[in-house]
Amino acid sequence: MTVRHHLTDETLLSYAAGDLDDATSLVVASHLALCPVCRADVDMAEDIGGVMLDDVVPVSMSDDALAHVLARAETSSRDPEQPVEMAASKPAGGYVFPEPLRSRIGGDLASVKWRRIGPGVQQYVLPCRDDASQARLLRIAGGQGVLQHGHTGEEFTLVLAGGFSDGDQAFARGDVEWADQDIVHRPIADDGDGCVCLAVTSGPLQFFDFVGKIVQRFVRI
Amino acid sequence: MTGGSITPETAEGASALMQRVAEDADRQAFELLFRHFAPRVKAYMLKLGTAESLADELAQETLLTVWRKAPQFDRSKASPSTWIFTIARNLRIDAFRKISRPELDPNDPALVPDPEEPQDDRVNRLQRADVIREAMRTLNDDQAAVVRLSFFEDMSHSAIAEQLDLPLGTVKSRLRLAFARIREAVGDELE
Repeated sequence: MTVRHHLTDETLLSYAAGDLDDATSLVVASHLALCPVCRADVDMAEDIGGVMLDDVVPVSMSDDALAHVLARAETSSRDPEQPVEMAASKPAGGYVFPEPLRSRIGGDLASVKWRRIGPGVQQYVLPCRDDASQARLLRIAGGQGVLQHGHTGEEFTLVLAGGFSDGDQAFARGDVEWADQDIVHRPIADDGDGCVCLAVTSGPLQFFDFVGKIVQRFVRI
Repeated sequence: MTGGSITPETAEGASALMQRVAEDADRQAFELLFRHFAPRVKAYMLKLGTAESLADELAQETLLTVWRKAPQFDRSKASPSTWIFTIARNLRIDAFRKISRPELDPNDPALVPDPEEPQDDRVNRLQRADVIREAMRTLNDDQAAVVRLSFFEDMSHSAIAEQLDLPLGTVKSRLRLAFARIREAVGDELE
């Protein structure tokens, strides 16, 4: 599997700097688990943070800071070198959701409590720690799509299973589609098993037809 | 690396000290790391608008985490400064929050692994800081400003655009250009 649709450099840089809201961080981190290319870029962006930390003008610590930390170090246990979760715990077919998404949901695909929001479309809204952006899982049946919509903010859609197409572009597991105010689109899930994706939006979507407007009143998409 | 005169000023030195902390729970080595990094982490916290006492506390917490997690530090993956930066960044974001910052888990079985990296590239991680520092000096003022605001002012792209009175697209393209420049410099160095 090779990811073809990546996150932009400026998004990766902001993730490394710690500037992104919770939901956007969640979609970025989940993409990173599936994309070694973007992961390498985040490594490099974090190196920029390391260099800036090195070069900052230091500020004196309080007098007893070192003694305080040494005293706490005395009584604290060291974290083990080996990770707790070993590959042995991997289920036979592999996880659909990578970390940190799996922890946020509290399980893999089978544990999602879906809610139907339209023909062939189900959603699950994820808990987030700030409301700057909303994160939701979408499960779209084969050949079905989200109604044509525009955006009032940014939208990141990460494919987790199956795939979808949008115009002449195809998206598969690990791929991210990005859209903003200037883009109106209608993604359609691939025939067959359809598509499961994580969608993060920083503003309400704009639907243009009557049905979409009615649906929106009820599901707050 | 047996002398007592290892300095945390260089990535190599800090890395050797990290190793002593990890393997021998060496307090003297930790003290050197603390004296170097704690005041820098505190400065970072203050720049991000954290109050003085909390900045001090978060810097202490960062260095305590360095002590605790030292056995997990991998010099082939990051320089000590980068590693400590990420700890400080996450502690600041997570202060007073119940849900922690979404971070990838390098041990997740669902992680798509990195392609095999040549041994030479891994060694270069420690030297990469110098290459990046040099490359950052070659950024023009506009590019350097958006990078600084991203890391040291906790500003979203639109907040940076507002502060600098620029269109959002201009902020993004400056960040992109700055990043491309640094990536190019790192790429050249590894060839």
